[in-house]
Amino acid sequence: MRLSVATPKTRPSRRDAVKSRLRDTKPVNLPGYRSRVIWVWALLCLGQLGLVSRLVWLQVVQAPILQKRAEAQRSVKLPPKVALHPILDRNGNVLAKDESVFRLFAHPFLFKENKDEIAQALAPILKLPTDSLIKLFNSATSGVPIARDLSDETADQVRMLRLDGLELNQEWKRTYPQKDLMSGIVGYVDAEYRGQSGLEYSLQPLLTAKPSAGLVTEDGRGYLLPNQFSERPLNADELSLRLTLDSRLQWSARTALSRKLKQYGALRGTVIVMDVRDGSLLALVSEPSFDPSRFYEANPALFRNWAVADLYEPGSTFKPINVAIALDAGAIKPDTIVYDQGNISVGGWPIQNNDGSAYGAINITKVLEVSSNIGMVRIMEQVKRSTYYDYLKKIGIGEITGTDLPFETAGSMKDKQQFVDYPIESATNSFGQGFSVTPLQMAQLLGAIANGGKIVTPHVTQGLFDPSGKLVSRPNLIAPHRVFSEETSASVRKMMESVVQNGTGKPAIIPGYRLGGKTGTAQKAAGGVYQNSRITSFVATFPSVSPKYVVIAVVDEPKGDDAFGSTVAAPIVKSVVETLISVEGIPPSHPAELQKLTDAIPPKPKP
Amino acid sequence: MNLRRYIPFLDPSVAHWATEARVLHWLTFTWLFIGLAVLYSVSFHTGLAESGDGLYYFKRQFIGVLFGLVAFAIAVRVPLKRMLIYTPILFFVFLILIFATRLPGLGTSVNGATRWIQVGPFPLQPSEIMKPILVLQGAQIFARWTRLTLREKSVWLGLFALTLLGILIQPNLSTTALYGITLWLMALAAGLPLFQLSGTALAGVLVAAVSISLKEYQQRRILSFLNPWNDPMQDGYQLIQSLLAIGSGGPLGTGFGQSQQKLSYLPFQHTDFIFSIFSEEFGLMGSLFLIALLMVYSTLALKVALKTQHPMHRLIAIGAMVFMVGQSFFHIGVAIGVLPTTGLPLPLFSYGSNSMIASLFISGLLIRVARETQASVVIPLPLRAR
Repeated sequence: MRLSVATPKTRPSRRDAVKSRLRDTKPVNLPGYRSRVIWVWALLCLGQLGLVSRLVWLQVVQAPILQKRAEAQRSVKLPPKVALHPILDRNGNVLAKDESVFRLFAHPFLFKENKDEIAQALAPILKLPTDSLIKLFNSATSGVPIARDLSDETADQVRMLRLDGLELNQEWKRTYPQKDLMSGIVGYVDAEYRGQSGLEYSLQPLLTAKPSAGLVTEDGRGYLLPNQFSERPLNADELSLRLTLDSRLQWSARTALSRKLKQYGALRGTVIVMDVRDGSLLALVSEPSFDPSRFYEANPALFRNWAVADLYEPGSTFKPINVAIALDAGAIKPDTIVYDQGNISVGGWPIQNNDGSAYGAINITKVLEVSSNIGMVRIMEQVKRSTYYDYLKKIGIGEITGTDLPFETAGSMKDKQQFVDYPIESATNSFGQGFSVTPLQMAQLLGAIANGGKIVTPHVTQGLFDPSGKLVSRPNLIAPHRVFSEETSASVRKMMESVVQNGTGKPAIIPGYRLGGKTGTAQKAAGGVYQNSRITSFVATFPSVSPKYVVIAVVDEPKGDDAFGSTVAAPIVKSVVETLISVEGIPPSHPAELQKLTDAIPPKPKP
Repeated sequence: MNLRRYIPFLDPSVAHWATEARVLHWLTFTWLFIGLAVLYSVSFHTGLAESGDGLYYFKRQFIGVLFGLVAFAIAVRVPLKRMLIYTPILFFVFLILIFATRLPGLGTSVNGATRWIQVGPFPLQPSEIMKPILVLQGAQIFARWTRLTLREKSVWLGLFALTLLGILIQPNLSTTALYGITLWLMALAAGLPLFQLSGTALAGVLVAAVSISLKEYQQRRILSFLNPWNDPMQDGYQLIQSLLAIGSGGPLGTGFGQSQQKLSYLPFQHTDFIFSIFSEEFGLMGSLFLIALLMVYSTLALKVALKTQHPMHRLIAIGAMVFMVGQSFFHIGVAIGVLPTTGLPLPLFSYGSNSMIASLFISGLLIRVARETQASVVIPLPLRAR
């Protein structure tokens, strides 16, 4: 260093200076470096101890709690896809189903953007004017209802805006695609989604969809993970309630009924088609009806289906039942002859035939054909009154049928003492007056004639079915029980066939086919006094030999002098049976008659 | 020609190395391979969810490992003396690059922090690559501390402080803290006077406290680890998910690949919270094994540091120990909720090429120190070997 200062040459001196400087700054081991190095290592050891103790705490002591929390956050219950199961007719046509809709609320105090921007973003999606949205936002700070019944797509669009302070709540909306066609049976749900009439009311527990029992896992994004799915199909809980009704038949019956109601200016009417083998109803029409999606506009009286809920005196349509009772009790034979003098007095009360005529000595078939009241009184006089009463009890008069439709009313009937003591009671009963039934019960009773003597329970539900078509549950029904013998019912069916072929039921004749029938035209009673207004009805069993169906039409208060069971109700039944023939594909029992009809049509002139 | 020379974990010359170097060599590769296996399991779901390719992250990590092995080979083979000559240049280059990330158009922003510079297809993260450079440069400065003039001391302290500042403003609080602590521990190991050291430490803590207290939301976030359940959906969310993962592991773990928390529950699972998923899959058993591995590693580093007579080499060993093991402990500490919830990668585990390259280079440096400790064994390598 000394040298470099002395020499005039700068280059070697600078190199020397750097060298010397490097020598001077050579790294040195400072005293006590070993302990310093160990300190650093010891610090890591200390850190390690801390980590290990915390890990033991987390993974041993706290593990069960943390495991449970982690499990809870990834476990979800699959929500039901519907609130209420859909209702289908026997062919799978939808009668009622849930639609997912959304209700939009705004909570302006949570808004991050200003109200104008939010209103402008929402307006085109909701198709609402911006001004009215802003007005809504200004109306309160929280919980402002903006819109309801938004579709999935609209709700998605709102969601995609990613705006704070908007809340979409999923709701359900019950829709009834068949409108008023099935409202009398299906019923409706109110704004709170509670069934208020029809099956929606009576089967609500069955219809309510249950969330799936098991938990499934989802990942952090909300996607379902397959590890906890059960082996059941995922849609196994998507059940549907299947009815026995046939929408086509229902529609046709309704059309035929409405036409006659209009023609005769009648108050109301009902048509029932029942499969007599098991009591399943193929059609049950009550007019007038209501639109279930606009239930709030309807007359509340219509919510109770009057075919089930209201009583009437069946009149002459009950005569075949009485004949069956007399035959079954052994009081008469099918070829018994009675004398109809046209006018009798029972216990001081005068009784006469509807048309005032006297038919003289006639057999049972003739009594039904001409619907002779006197004849019926004479027949039922052969049955011991208490036996008669017991029979009426046995077939369920004064009881409910036990159908699955709600609001069913039990029929009314005198007590046994009065019935036995006063002969007028059994006399009026013999031509279907003095007691009451519902139209549905009338169908049930006719069913016992048609199916060989068994009372079946009329019903509209087949049960709940899973997506693979397996029956999951069905409503409990009263089991069929025998009330008449096979022979009795067969005899009565033969007589009823004759009523249509030769008697008052002629308007129901269908060429090529045979059906049994009985007309009924009864005066309505109000407060124990018979009024001028009538109730006309027609009952039919079809086909006549080994019948499968009972069809009954009841029209309340048709106006006009020509309003009888044969003119008002029989054509309705005929029209329904014709539809039944085409819907069910029933071959003619007497094809020769059809041949005759075709022959009657003049052949087309040959070109 | 022997191809095995070029594959670091098959290098036949390893057999002739010093014991510590040999064991560290195998320990590094054990650590690396466990890390790769864990990353495979952890990143599969995320890759699948984000890009439809479960191997997305694993493939990229694999490329990172290849680059890292080159860095590792360089560190193991180049004499430290030669390496240290280039260190100051690299230090200035990366110091400039750290600040360059703040330049608009140059830096790439991810999650609100600009830490990357896109170099062709490679996202360069200067703050990661700076780690080994800082170890080397720190060793150079602190080993000669008593021989430096006051001016030199203050210039270098200033430069180190500038480095910390550059990382702090990215912002990357956790890496800043890690750098500060590493430098401080190196200085401690160098034998610097205690009152100077405690003064620096106090100043550092004060600066940190002030910078945190300036922003209320930062303060809330940093302190949320004390009780994450206070705000489980916001500030506490990550930590809670991490704790759920670790707790779900229990003593024995759910098994490799069986983590539930990795299914989009725990954010940053393949980077800042990889330990949580590892711990869920391998349980306390696996966690203790990893910590034991780290302790063996740090004990070997200590042995190397005590054995070498060269103070600069000793400080390199200490710096490597802190960056490898200390950083791992910070990462684990964050995951188990004893440290504020900040992002630090777990060396050789977490996804990230920069971190992988830096970590492998640092571990290579430690091995090089171990090799040079027994001078008789370390023959200056002929040029063709490099």
